Formats: sequence, C-alpha cells, structure tokens
Amino acid sequence: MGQTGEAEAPVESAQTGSFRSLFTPAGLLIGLATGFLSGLMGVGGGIIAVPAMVGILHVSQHKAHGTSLAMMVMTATASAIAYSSRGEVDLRLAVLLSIGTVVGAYLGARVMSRVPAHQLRLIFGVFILLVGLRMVFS
Amino acid sequence: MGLDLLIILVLGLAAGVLAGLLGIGGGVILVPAMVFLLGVDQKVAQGVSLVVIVPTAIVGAITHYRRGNVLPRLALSLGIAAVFGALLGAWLAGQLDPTWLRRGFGVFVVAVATRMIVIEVRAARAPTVKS
Repeated sequence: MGQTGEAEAPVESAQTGSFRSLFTPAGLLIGLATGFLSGLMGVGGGIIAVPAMVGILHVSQHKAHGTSLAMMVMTATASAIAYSSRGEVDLRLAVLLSIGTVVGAYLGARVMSRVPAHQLRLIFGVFILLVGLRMVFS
Repeated sequence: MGLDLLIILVLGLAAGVLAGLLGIGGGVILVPAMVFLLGVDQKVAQGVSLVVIVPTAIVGAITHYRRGNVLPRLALSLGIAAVFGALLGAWLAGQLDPTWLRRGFGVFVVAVATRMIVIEVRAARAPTVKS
C-alpha cells in the first residue's frame, strides 16, 4: 500500500520527496472517489476527503482540511465546466451567492472558537437530516 | 427584483457562515436551499453550487496555506485524480433523471447528517476527550 505502512505521517514527509512519491494507490482512490462525489452531487467532496486523509493517509486534521480545500478548487472547476457545458449553471445566481458565501465563510471561521460548536453541529445535523429525508421522499 | 437579490445574498451569507462555522461543506447547504427556497432545478442547483465552491475554496485554501496547513504535493496528486473522478461523476449526473438525482442527493445528505450526529453524540458522552 505504498507509504501508508510507514510510521509518522509519511504523506507529510513525502512533501519533499521525489515526484514518483506523489501518486499512491490509496491517494488515487481517494482522489477519484472524492472527485466522483463532487461531480455527481455538486458538492466539494471534502466530506469524504478529510476523513479519508486523516484515517487512511494519516494526515493531521488541520492539514487534511486545508489540503482538501486546495484539491476542491481543481475538482469543483472541472465539475463546474462540465455542468456549464450542459447549460446547467445560472451564472448570475452563482456570482450573487458567491459574494455571500465568501464573506460568510470568513465570518463563520472567525466566530468558530467563540461558539459551542458541538451543540451547533448536533442541531444542524438533525436539521439537515430532516432536509435530506424531505429530498428523498418529496 | 431587489428583494430577490437580497434573499440570494442573505442565503449565500448564511450558507457561508454555516460552512465556516461548522466545518461542513457549502454544497450540502446550498443545493437544498436553492431547490427548496428558490425553486431551482436540482441539476442547476448542483451546477451553481460547484461554481460557488471555486472562489470559496480558493479563499479557504489560501488562508490555510498561510498557516502551513496545505500539503501542496498531496493536494496536486489528489486533485489530478479527483478531476478525472469529477468528470465521470458530472457526466453521470447529466444522465440521471432530476428526480432521482435529487433523491440520491437526499440520501447523501442523510448520510452526512447521520455521521455528524453520531460524532457529536459521541463527543458529548466523552467530555474529557479533547477534540
């Protein structure tokens, strides 16, 4: 399984290694799966990328999060182009929403340490569960 | 016209705040919000979500990079593989009936929500464990 059998965050130390160390079977699978989910569902894919990096590649939580975001830029761009080629992008809506999300994400991240994240995540989890169920059954 | 604009800006802001605050992806919030609150078609909602993710992720990645929290080589290798996966997934989404795609999205959201709830319930039961 390539580098994953070694000790002490091999993926992180591989940052200074040879070019061939870039692609491992686990990494390819994680990338493919994340991208597939992203393209199929129109999401970032971080939801599986981060746990996969932490659990399989032994990357630290914070680095997994940051790396996932960087990866997401490429993934979302490719997916967006695909959807756009089918006329499935309302660009005006996307631009307007983007203004809000970029500002909002910055604010949200800043406030994060001052709020009860666990309770909020639990409440949000329940809420989004209901939303998901509605999407399935409506 | 003005109200529509305001609603969309507020929606984007709310989705961004939630995403930044809870560490959850914006797409999971934006797509249902667009479908249920703005009456957008499932596939268009997904397409818009993907376009929105690009600048949001760029900003996030730069912020994390400055803190040394991005592994560039890993991001690149995962990203290259992910692009292939994304093109395949996007193609498949195009083939599916919108209703079934929406249901599939619902299943995905239920899975994400369940995982969130389980993690938080476990965290609540083990208060001595630092997160």
